[in-house]
Amino acid sequence: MSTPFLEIRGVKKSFGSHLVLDGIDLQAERGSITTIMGKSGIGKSVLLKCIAGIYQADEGEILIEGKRSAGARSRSPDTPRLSYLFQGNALFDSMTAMDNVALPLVETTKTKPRAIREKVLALFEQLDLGDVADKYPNQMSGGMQKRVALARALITQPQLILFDEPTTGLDPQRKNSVFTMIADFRRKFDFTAIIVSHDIPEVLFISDRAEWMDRGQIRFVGAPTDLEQVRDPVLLDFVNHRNELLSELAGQKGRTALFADWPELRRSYDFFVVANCTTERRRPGSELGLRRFVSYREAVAAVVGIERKHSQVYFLDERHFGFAIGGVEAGSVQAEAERLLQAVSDGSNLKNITRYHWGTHAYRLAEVLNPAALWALEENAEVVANTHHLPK
Amino acid sequence: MEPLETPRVSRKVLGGAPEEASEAPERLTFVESLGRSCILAVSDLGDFSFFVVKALAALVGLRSWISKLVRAIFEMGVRCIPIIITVGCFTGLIIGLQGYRTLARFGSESALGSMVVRSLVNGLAPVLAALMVVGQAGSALAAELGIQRNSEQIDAIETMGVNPLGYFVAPRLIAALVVFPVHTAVFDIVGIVGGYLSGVLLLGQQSGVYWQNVHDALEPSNVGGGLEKSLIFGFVVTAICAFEGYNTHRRSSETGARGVSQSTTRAVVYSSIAVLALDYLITSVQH
Repeated sequence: MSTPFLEIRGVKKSFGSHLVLDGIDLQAERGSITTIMGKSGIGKSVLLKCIAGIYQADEGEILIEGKRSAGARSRSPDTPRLSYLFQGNALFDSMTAMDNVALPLVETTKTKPRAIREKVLALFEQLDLGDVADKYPNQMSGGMQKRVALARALITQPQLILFDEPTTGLDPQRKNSVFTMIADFRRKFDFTAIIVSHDIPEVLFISDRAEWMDRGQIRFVGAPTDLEQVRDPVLLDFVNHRNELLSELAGQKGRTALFADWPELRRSYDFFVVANCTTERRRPGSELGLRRFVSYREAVAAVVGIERKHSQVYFLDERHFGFAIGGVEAGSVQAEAERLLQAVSDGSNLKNITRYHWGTHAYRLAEVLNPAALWALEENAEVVANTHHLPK
Repeated sequence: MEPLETPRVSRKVLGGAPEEASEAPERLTFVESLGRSCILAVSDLGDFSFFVVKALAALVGLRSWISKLVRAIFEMGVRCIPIIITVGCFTGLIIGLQGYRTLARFGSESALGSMVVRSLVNGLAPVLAALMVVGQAGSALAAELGIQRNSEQIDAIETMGVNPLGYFVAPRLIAALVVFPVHTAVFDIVGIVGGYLSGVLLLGQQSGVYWQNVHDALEPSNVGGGLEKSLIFGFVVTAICAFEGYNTHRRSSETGARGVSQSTTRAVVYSSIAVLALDYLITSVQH
């Protein structure tokens, strides 16, 4: 059995008499993304800070590549490099974006200033931050600051990056783009990521492993899809609470009802792909970035063809689908649906699809069905209802 | 063991304060309270000593330290010069005015220059200069570090593999050793000129007499004593302000802006007390 890249064994941490971490065990494989979920204030950030070496664990061990880790404090060149993306970004407000990102290289390497500048600018280019080099953090938007902080975390090409609620305070589109960035850069730079996030299910789209923390311990470990089978009422409450609360707040009772109907729907259809379910009305054929918006009818027409062939129903969610396929140009819904179908058929990419599929269940369906803008299109609603027997 | 990084609850525990709001407060007798306060004070002193030693040790291996030192000298030194000149001038004016009148009662007004120099050089100048720098640069240092602590910038530096004490604190401690003597010297010069303005230009003492007295009173031991004090004051007050700001998260009973406010206030108060207490001690030793 190979040694996991990061292994945490029985880590305990108290502040005074308050026990925050009560024997945490966690493993992360090299190049994987592990998401740690849990209620606020239960010690997720403390765990990350223990891994980073900002806090010293009272008991237990933190091993990186099988060796005891001194966290970021280690000056040894053999120690795997580690970066930390802080919840509040922790950018130096008296420094420009360029200086902020260059700082780790300036302070820890002998790289020449010109080479550092070129490296930072190249990273800015990759992160679509072309014109922020001379801006101070207070001159940037929240999303830009987050990307600059991500650039700072990536500049040293770390082997392990700890993300502490990387999407806090961002709008849904920015959240998705941050998760997409993390997934893309993980592929490019091959780092191992530990993410603390409350953005469920979005964060699970990019995760290989989900861990749920409660009362100072890891209570659930598994693939994101395994969360569907979980029976722990506290975890279920945690995962589902958001939807119910939103439903209550928005007065949208349909969401809860739909959620209850989900097991029934699942028995009928294995995969759902939702098209054009943005809450905004967009003109069919218009484009946003690489995505083309199709009409609901167009999408369903694509779906119907597939259904005939395989007795499965697909919905494409333009926003989350674009995100889930991670930068593949969604030229047409049908092409993507067929690609997914092919992947399902030959099983080559099943993991990714099931992961996506999990994230799109009731919550996504609710999103599709709730916006009046979509249901108001009766002709489309009719097609959907006839095809998939969804509750109207 | 991490005496500096442990969040503030450790201090609460040491102090016996309740951990949870729901817990009943422990009733202590006067003697117990006194004993606990003494233990806390000794513990704080130990933390402070650790902090200073670790900050100085962090100088080893600090990259581009010259640029950091220059920046610290600019922030602590150059920016404080206007206030040093202003306060030095008024101090000289007051000593000149009061001194002349006092000396005139005994017919010794010719000794005004000597009085101004002796009052300033090894007495008021290092103390007042230090207090002014505490008020301006010291409070700014404590607030800056406190905010950097709260916004996790200090943690961020640490995760980059850089020693935050070396990055944030050590250059300022060294800068203080340069800046405070210069401030004291500037205070001396401006104060003596202030004494000249009030004694000679306003009250009519002869210019030559004043400057001759100044010259006679400016002994190397006086000047050296004043500079010695300024070196010690500079190091101690900078260390106190940095300590309070750096440990905002564990030394303040409040969090966020209020925590920074508390640590800044404490930095100024403790530094001011330290300056006066050290002045007494050093003066006792010098004489």
